[in-house]
Amino acid sequence: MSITDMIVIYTVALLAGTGVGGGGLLVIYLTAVLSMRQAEAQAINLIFFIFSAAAALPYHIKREKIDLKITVFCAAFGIFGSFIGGSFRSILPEETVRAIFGAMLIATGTVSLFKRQKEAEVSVSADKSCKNV
Amino acid sequence: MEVKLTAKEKTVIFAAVLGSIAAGFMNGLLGAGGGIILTFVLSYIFGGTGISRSGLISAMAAILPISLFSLMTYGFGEYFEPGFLLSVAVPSALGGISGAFVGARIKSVWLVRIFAVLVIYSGVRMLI
Repeated sequence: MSITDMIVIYTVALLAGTGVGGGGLLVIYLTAVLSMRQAEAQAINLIFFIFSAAAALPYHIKREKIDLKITVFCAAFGIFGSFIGGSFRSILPEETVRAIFGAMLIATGTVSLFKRQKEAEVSVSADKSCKNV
Repeated sequence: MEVKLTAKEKTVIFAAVLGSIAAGFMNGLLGAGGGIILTFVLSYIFGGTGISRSGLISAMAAILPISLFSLMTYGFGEYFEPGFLLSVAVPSALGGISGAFVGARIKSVWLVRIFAVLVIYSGVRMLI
């Protein structure tokens, strides 16, 4: 990895750490700019996420309590799902995985756009109601 | 002793199981995307509508072990040498810490909108 690549990783991790998002952006950089294979880019994206989330999590947990029982419950079923997903990836052609990834990006982007707009509307209406009081 | 669950409790358990498997499936298949599913599922479980902060943080905690196991399905090839791993891990960890610190202090509505448009555009480019 060059210095430029490391700066890109740092920037995407910063976005992920703020809660804005970041899932997938690194894969796009690795495949489009560094011409990596889709599977390799996805594996590096996982390494990136593991380290950035592990670093950000203690800070977030200090500010917000989490329900450990439910988190462990979800993680256990998620691990089961990840093995099924991994098996599918190994039998699907790379082009198909790439197309599914593209569809996932469109869905994620749309959800992010809608989610934040809704929050903005809520905060605007809350401001208005405060002024009316 | 028989434990009787209410309809609401059954729905919550069903959502948790199905949502977690779906999130894990996405992570295993695409190496990303599981987090957003889990955020919605956990926000629903915690009784909110839409996305709650506790749902977001819990999803981040749950997706960590899922990502570790997903990574195992990729195997460990030449890209996972210690030197390479460090060049990814160090900026990732530093960015994650900086992001957590910055995120608690800024309003990110416009940043999210720019990010969302960029992600949608990239998705369309990948499909074409």
